[in-house]
Order: sequence, then structure tokens, then C-alpha cells
Amino acid sequence: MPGVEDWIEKPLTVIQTVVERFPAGTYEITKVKEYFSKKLQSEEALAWVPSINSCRLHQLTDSSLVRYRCMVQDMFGPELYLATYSVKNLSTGAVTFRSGHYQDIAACGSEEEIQPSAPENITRERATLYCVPIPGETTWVKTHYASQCRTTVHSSSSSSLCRNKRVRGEEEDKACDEAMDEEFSENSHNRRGDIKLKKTSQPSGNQSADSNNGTQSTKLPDLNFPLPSESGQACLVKVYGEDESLKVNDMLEVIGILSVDPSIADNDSTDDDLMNASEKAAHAPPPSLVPRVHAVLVRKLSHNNPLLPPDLLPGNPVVARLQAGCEMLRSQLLSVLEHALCGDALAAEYLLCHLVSGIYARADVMPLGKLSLNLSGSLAKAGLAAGLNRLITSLKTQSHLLPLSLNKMNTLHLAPRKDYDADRLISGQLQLGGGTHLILDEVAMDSGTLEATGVQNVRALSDVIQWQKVSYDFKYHTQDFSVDIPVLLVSEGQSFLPKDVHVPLQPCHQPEDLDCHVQSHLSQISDDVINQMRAFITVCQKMNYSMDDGIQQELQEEFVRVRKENPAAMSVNDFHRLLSLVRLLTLSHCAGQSTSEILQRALHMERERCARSQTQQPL
Amino acid sequence: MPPRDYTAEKGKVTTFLKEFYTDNQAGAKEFVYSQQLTKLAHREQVSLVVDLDHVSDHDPDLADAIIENTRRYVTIFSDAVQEILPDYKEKEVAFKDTLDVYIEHRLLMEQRAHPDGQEVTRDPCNKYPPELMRRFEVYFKAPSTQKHLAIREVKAESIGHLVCVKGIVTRATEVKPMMTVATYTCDTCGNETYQPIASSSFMPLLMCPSQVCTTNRSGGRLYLQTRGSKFIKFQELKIQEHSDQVPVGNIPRSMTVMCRGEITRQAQPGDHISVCGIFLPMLRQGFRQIAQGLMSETFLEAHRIIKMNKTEDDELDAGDLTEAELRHVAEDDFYDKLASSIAPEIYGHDDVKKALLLLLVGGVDKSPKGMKIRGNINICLMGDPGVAKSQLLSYIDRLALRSQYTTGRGSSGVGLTAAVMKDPITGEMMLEGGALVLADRGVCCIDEFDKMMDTDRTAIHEVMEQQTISIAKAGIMTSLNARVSILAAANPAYGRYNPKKSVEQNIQLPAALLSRFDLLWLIQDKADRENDLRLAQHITYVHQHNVHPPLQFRPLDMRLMRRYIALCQRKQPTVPEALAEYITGAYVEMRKEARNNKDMTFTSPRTLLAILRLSTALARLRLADTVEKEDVNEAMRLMEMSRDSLNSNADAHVRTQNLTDQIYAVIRDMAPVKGVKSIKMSDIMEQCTSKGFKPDRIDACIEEYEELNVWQVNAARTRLTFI
Repeated sequence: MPGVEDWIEKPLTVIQTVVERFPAGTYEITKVKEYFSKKLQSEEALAWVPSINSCRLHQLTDSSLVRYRCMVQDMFGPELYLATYSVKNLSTGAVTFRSGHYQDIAACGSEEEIQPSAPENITRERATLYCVPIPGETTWVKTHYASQCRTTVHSSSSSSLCRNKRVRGEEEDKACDEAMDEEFSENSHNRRGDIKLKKTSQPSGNQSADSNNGTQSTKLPDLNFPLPSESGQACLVKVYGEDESLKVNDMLEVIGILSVDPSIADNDSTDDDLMNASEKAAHAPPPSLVPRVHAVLVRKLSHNNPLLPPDLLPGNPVVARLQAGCEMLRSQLLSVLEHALCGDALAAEYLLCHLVSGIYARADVMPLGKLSLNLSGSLAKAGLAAGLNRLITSLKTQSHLLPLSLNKMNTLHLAPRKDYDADRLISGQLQLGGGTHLILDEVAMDSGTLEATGVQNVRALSDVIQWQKVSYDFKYHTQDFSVDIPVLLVSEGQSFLPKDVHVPLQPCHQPEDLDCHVQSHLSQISDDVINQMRAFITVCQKMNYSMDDGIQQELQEEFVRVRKENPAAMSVNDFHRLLSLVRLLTLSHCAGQSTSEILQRALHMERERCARSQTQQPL
Repeated sequence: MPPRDYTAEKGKVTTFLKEFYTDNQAGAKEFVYSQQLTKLAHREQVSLVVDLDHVSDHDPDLADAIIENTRRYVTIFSDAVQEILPDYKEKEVAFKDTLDVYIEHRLLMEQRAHPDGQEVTRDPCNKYPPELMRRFEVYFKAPSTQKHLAIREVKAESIGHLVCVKGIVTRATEVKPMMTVATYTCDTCGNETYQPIASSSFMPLLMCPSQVCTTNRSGGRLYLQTRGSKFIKFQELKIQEHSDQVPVGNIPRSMTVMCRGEITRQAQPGDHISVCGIFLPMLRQGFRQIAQGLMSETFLEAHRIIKMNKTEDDELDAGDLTEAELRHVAEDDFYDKLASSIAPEIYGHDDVKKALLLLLVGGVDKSPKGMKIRGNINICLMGDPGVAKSQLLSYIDRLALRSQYTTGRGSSGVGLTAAVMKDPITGEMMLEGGALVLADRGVCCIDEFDKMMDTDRTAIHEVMEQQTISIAKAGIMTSLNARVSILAAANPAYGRYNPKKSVEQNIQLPAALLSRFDLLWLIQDKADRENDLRLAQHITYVHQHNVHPPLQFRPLDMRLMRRYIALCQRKQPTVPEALAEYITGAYVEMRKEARNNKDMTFTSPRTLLAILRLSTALARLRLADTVEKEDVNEAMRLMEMSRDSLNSNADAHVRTQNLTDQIYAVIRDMAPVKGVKSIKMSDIMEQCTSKGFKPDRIDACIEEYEELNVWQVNAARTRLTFI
């Protein structure tokens, strides 16, 4: 591929030539975007761009093109930069103009001097986003993405499995890993003709990283990951000209220019009167720790499933193939779920509906499409939460298990809050990207007093379950942010949190440890099948859905009929739930139109469930 | 564009300052700035605020130029003022501080050392910098036409311009002195050297530049003279966008504001402020200027800070309604339309919404002979959990011009009323108002009213009738105004409303408190085929189309509503003499009825006042000056409806009565207990019509029961006999 190396390794030179073709101050940004989106049209080309998610920082070159899959954690104020600046050569006196797009540091030789007040200088602004790797991203998603990337070291795909759980501070194994990576990179370079990865002799980020090795684990600044167990690379993404469209908690794929020049740190470390120490740590961390990425192209991810193309149009061959075999897949999936729930078919059916649920729209404040599920029963004590977490982790793209222990509830801040000292948003465990599954383990709760923080946390959780929103605390006011987090509650009796559906489990048998039980079952399923299931769930989730008038009539009649008999038997909420259930059942058949059979099935499920909870009640 | 000739600009500025005048009320010329200049000269005033409206009247081009390049014009104005200031000096001023003494001494010394006025020891660039002698500050006030921007709208193009932004202060540093002119003395020759400082840091001078030292090569060292240097007050604020300016899903942006001199100490964290200032990039010096590369930080140099509250903020864009808007509001069914525009997303509850509308408008306050009768309407919504009480409350909170939303428990230690607190720094006792005080002249929405603290409960009695809060704590004895309408929401004590018990028992609030509510409303979740079907359709529609179904009408814009209500509140309708009798009659009737029926509610003299309040509110809503009979009728209907909502469900267990049944009941009661059960038809007609039934309905009822053989009517249809 001639030319590839150029725009991947030296994108700034390419940009400079693109920009030079147009007079200053015109649409150079748009032109640059056009150029790169043309270059990166095919999946093939995209695969050549190294990804920050699967590489270590020292493997990447400063100012080369990189990919980054992330979630927007915080938005900083805009930054002014010189889009065009003039440089005067001190020895010759010649004045040249340079472009400052997509850079942090001015290109300025030792003989040259920037003229900051030249009238030709053009000041522009760019937005700065603080991005973190998608929280709760499951192992298989990471592995798949890594294997798709042509430039990554191949060992990483296999070793990332064990590496995933790694905490950032663990630096001991890094050295040997590095050696291995290098070996591999050279091998693969020879064998496959892949792009040469920058070796460790890179003077920029790496040196500082190395020198920091010993101390890093102790004085590592808080990278503000929403989930405490997360690892990965946080980045400051500088965005050009797409101001309002990007939101907090959006999942993005950024293609941009990496900037890890250590002089950024020098620049910022000088004492500054506008920022205090904590603010500086948040806004201008050393680039070796938080690299800057100047985004050329930004794409919002509607889903994070590497098995599927980014846009799921109905005509897509992958989707069509899945749809063709959907009944088979559905029954396979159901049997897996049923097995995991120890043979409870009804609960498995509800769990499937729950898995494909997701907010599709909001009517004012009311979220539509959610179905929070509460599974209860004696199984809860046998590690049901852990088992379900394992199951969901291997099926969905993002998930997070949160044990609701009293201590945690009283000490953690689940909702993000603003820290005005550092001027940043301190993340909380509820700052999750769209579609992240949240499993709440109520078994961990013990008796005691909930303190003020605990009450706040419980309220935050109920807000998520009921309204799918999180109130971020801005000290002077709170602001609601919409989220899309399906919540699965695991409890012994009925959960004290609100829920849409409560299913008391009726297992056929009672294994000792459910986690092992699920694990052994999952290991029997072939990779291919499980991949299909993963794709199936995502496709179902994103299906378009409509309800024809007949079904609507039928439902409404049902509502009126039940209420006539007993107004307490069907409240407005019950009706909402029924409508959601019909929709999700339809989707779980990979269909877009509900039918009468499905409606009957939903009604039957509801009746069975009600009967169950009634028999359970006296106990 | 050719570079501006700033000397010429200075001339323009001088003429403006000298000659600008406005016509005051007496028609005489008022030289706004000349007067101020005199004050400046006499040290009676420190800051000179130049209103750009005035500049624009005088010379529009100049005003534009100032907005475009404000920093430069601050210097030009300062120079101009400095130059002409001596002309305005009419008398010698007494020295006030060290700097004055220093200035005086310097001038004297200069004269003594060089009586011929020649400067020898000093090169021209080391003379007194003008800043050192200057005792005034120049600020600009943005033209009134300039709009307030959101912080995120201040972009790179605004650099150097005068911009106005609104925001909430999130951080304010202490006020610190900042050096503007550093003064040094030489240890060898004793000469003074000055260094004006423009940026945030400076490099101190070391060697004496005076002629004596340089010619002698004595290498005199310079020492900084703190007392001789000039300092100004300096404060740094951080402001953050208002939550309503933030696009959905974005993080509020913030901005640094630098305040100097008189602008400092104007705001504290938590204040809502509007700032006019110059948007500037942070300048760095020396090495860092080059090293900073391509980025720069920005800040706003404040010229004017105004503290605002929610009301002022809204009043800025209030103004009168236009003809078209008024016509749009005042259509035939405006009452229904306005009412249903309240919380349009909540289905039904028309009468509750009407009552809430009246609460927003409020009745007329009366104070005959010193007695105060409140005009504010208090409403209490009760109901089973999950019947949109809280949504209604929060909508009213958003709609009302001034409002506070709290829960009965109250979020802070201050609670609902007021508290005496000890200031942690000064140790002084101070009064802090609670939600009811803060909502003065507005609406106070109290959710979970039943869970109120006992201390608040006693105070709220006073608020609800006398509209004041009296405090006698820690040596502070005072009475605070709390002219609020209270909109409360309460949950029944036992989870669900028990119709067999009285209201007091259900909510566990004393009757004395409940009677202070003009309207008590019970919202219940009841089954009814038609309603249910509509509800089901509504919900399916929402699920199908992701939006609420289109309403039959377009709800009025919130802002328009707000302005219309403000307009209504200006009216002071009166009750005409003729109506007074009608109202008393109706009241007597209600009392009688209340005695007869064993009612769950109570009718007290307060009810009469409530009817008056509701009717005046209705008259206000019509923008009328007198109350009419319909207003009274509607007020009574609302009372009746609210009463019904509490009572009717008592017989919900019995079969619901239709009209015919009711008429039958009336006739049955008329029948004599003993003897022949026979009644005159004319009596029946009289009795029934007086109870409000229509003649044709009565006939229908008689016929229906005749067919059932309950009674017989004679051929002449004059007499009815029970069988």
C-alpha cells in the first residue's frame, strides 16, 4: 500500500499539504476531514491504524495516526490555539506561515521565533474532552477489537485475556511483556509486512514512563475512571468543530493524531497563576500518563459489538444472516439462560427480554424500552449474582457487578459530582455508557444504618431504575443526565429498590456454587455459537419495532377489561410493563412487528409470574 | 482597514467626557460625566462608569470601536481623564492615605531639587508613571441592547471585545493586593525608580538606572519600597453556566473572571451574577510566551458585576404582551386553555389544574382597618402514591415567577421557616431564611407536607394566615414577611386514602392547619371504562410513537403564561355591593348543608374567605376590574368539586347514583311516613327543581318508576301514590 505509511505515520505533513491548498481561514478542517474519511472508507484501511486501546503507549509514535475507543467522561473548557501562525527566522529574517491545527506544540526551530502578535495569525478554538476507555467493557470485546487491528502485536490478543484484570500500578510484568512484544513485533513485521511499530527507543513518552516505573504505583494521579477496577489509557481528546453534538457518556471512536511530546508537560508544569495544583493535575496531566489525541474523525458508537458492522442497517448481510437463523439461535440462547438459572424456564424468558432491553426513546422524562428485572430466591445465596455476571459478561458488550454492601453504600459516591477545586467531574460508578449492564447484588447488604451518603446512593440507584437518569451533583444545583443502563437486581426476597419485573426463581436443582456452574456450562459452548449469540443480542436490541392497530386494540381492551374486574390488578405501571414486555418479546424473535401470539405469550408470562409471586408472598 | 489614529480618538473621548449631557426631568442639561469628574477630582468617587449607551448617542462609531477593542480604550479614557482632571479640581483635598502623602512628597522633592523644573537625574522613561498618580478607575457599561451570552457562546472571535455573560459563581478567591507600580529606591544615590506592571508576574529591577549611579558606576542596588508602590485590590472568580444554558448531555462550562479595584467583593460563591467584561487571552512573558506554543488560556476582565436573582432575571425579558399575544391568550375558552396548559403531559385532572392556575394568579389582598386578609390561595393535594402529585408540584415550581420547592423535611438545617445561625467566622448571630421566607411573594411548593417537622408545623400556622414568620431566638426578635401561596402535597398516613376516615385522620394533620387550605384536593386512582380506555390509548401511543399524543390544543408557551399571569396580578378587582348578598346567601346555604350531612370536611368562616379569594382570582384572570356572578359560581363549583373528591368515594362502594336515582331519593324522602303515601305532583316539582334537577329529568324519573310499579300517578297527573 503506497502512501499508507505517510498518512498513518506522518499525518501532520499530509494535513499541512491539504491545508496549503486552500487560502488561510477557509474550510481547511472540513477538507482534512474529507481527505481522511475518504482514505479510511474501507474496514481494511481502518485496520491499519493502530489502536490506543490494544497497544501500550510506548508502542506508538508521537504525532502518528491512532484509533481510540472511549467514553466521554468530562468536558473541559474550549482552548484557543493559533490556526495559522507566522514564524520568523532569526538569521535570515524570512517570515513563514504554518498551520497549528492538530498540534500542541508550535514547530519552531532554534533559529526561529514565533511572532505571537503578527496580524496574520488566526486564532481558533477547539473543544477538549476527557475520555476514558469504555467502562465495563467485557473481555471478549477487547480481545476481538484487538485481533481485528492489523498493527497490533499478535501476542497481545492472547495475553490480553490474562492482562485484562491487571491494575495499572502493576508494573513488574511490564518489562518482560515489553521484551515479548518487541520480539513479536519484529517477527510479525518480517512475516506479514505489517507496519513497523515504534520501538522502545522512542524518546518521548516512553522515557518518562520508564523513569516513573518505580514510583508510578504509589503516586499515580487519579485517572477518574468510573469503575475502580478499570485499567487502560485515558486521553485528552481535542475535537475540532463538532461542538455540541458530542455529549458526556457518549461512546466514541476517535481517529486522530497522537501527541505525547514531553514538552507539553514542561510547558504546563511552570507555575501558573490561573490554575491551582489540583486543577493542573486534572487539566494538564503529563502526556506520558494522559496522552493528547487530536481528533480528525469522530464517530459515535451506537453499539460496541466488534462482531457487527458499526451501522446496523436492515439490509446488512450480517444482520440478514442472523435473522435467518434467529429462531434456532433464540432457543439455543434460552437453553443457556435456563441452564444458568437451574432450569427455570419462565425466569429465562424474562432474562432474555431483559438482555435485549434498552432505551429506544423518551417521552418527556419517561424512558421507553427498559425492563429492570429482579430475580430472587434461595439461589441468590449460592452466588447467583456472580454467576449472572459471568453469563452477562460473556454475552453482552459492557457489564458491571455492584455488590450493595452497607459499607459501600455509605462510603461510595455512585453519582458523579463536580469538584470545583480541580474543576473537573469526579466520576462515580453510575457514569456508564449506553447499554452497560448493571447487576446489583443485594445479598451483600447487611443490616445497619444507611447514612446520608447511603440514602443518596439508594436514591441515585432508584432514579436509574425508574427514570434512567443520574443526577450529577454540581454543588449549587444538580443536573440530570439520561442514561441507558439495564439493571438486574439479585436479592433473596423482593428487592427494596424499585423494579419493573420481579421473578421469584423456582430452580429445579440447587448447585453449590452458581458461578462455577455457569462457567462450566459456558466452557462447553463453542466460540462460534457464543459469538453468534452475542451478535444476536445486539441486533435484537437495535431492531426497529412497530405495533399494528389490531394489537393495540387488543391490548387496550385487555387493560379496560382487567380494570373493570379489579382496578388494583392493573395499574398504569402494569400497562407500561406489559407494553414493554410485548415489545421485547417481539424483538427477541428478531422481528419488528408484534403478533397476537406474542401478546398472548406475554399475558401468559405475566399471569404465571403473578401467580408465583403470590404464592411466595406468605412465606 | 487603516490603523486608527488613537491621538484623534483621545481628542474625541475628551470632548465626549466634557460635553456629554442628558436632559433630566426638569428639562435642564445634566452633564453626567463632568459632574462625576468633579467628584473624582475631589476623591469622592473612585470609579468612573462610562455608559456605552451615552457614547453611542454621542458618537456611534466610537461606541462600536470601544466594544471591539475595549482594552485599548480603557487606557485612552484613563489618559484623557487624567489630563482634564485638574481642570475640575475646585478645592484642595485632604490627604487620605500614605500614597497621597508620597505623591505630595515626590512632587515637593522634585520642585526642591530642580527649582528650574529641569529633569536631570532621571531619563524621561523613568519619570512617574501615570498609574502611580492615578486615583480613579474607568469602567465601561455595555449598551443596553447587548444581549447576555451563555459562557459557551463566548468564542475565539470575541477576544478583546466587551462581552456580557451570566453565570453562577463557583469559586471566589480572597481579595488580595496586586502591585501595579513597583517603586524602588537605590541604596547608593537614594533615587526612586518606578516599574509599571501589567501582567501577573514581573521581574524585579536590580540595578539603579539613575544618572548619578550610571555615570559614577557606583552600582547602586535597588530595593523594593512596599509603601511607595501602588497596589490595587484583586480578586479572581470562577463562574459556571446556568443549568438552563447547558445543552442536554453537556457539562456546564466555566470561565475565569478577574476583578480589580472597585469590582472586587461583589459576589460570593453561589451567587447568580451577570458580568460585563473584556474577554482576553492570558499573556505570559519571556520564555513562557514562546514555550506556550499554540495554546492560551482566557479570562474575562470584569467591568461590571450585577448580582441577580431568579425574578430579576426573568423580568429582563418580561414587558407587556403584544396585541397578538393577548388575543391568542384571551380566546373564548381561555380559562380551560390556560388550565390545561399547566403540565400538559399529565393527563386529566382538569379541575385540579384550574385550581392551580388560580393559585398562581392569586386573590386580592385586603387590609381593612389594619387587619390583614391574605389574598394568596393555599392548596393541598392529597392522594395515593403515584398519582403525579409531585409532577404537578414541580411544574408549578417551574412555571411560577418566584418559587421554592422543598420537602416537608426540608433539605437544610434552616428548615421551612427561618433559623438563627452563628456565623462561623465572625461569631455573630444572623438570621437565615428558610424556603417560606425565600418564596416571599411567590409560591412555596412543599412536598411530603405530612412529614413536616414539629417546629415548622407551629410556624406554618402563622404563615398560612398572617403571612409572616415571627422569630424570637437568641436575642433576635423580628417578624419576617412570608407572603406565599402554599402548594402542599401529602401522602395518606396509611399508604392509601381511607374514605371511611376523616381528612385529619388520613393525613394526620390538625384541623386548624387543614382549614387554612382554601382547597383540599384528593387525587385518586379510580377505574372507569371510558377513562381507562383513553388512558390505555394514551400509553400505547406513547410507546408506539415515543412522544405524547398530540393534544387537542396547543399548550401555551410557558413564558407567555408567565407574562400573562404577571399581567393578571396587576389587576385589583373588587366585589360589587350587589354580589355580596349572593355570596353570603351561598355561604349560609353551605353551612346549613355541612351541618346536615355528616361531612368529612368542614365549613368555617375561612370557607367564605376562600370563595372570595377564588372569585377575585378568577376576575383577575379575565383581566376584569369587578367580580361577576359567574366568578363566584365557578369558585363555588371548584370548592364543591374539591369537597366531592374527598367525599364521593365514601359511596364508591355503593352503586354510583345517577340522576334518576337521586330524584327518586328526593321523592321517597318526601313521602309521609304514616298513612297513605301520596304526594302532590306540584310539591315534587317544587322540591326537585329547588334541588337543581330539571323538569324533564323529573318527569322521566317518575315515568320510569311508574313502569316499575313503584308508584302510581293519577290520570290528571296531579298526585303520586306509592304502592
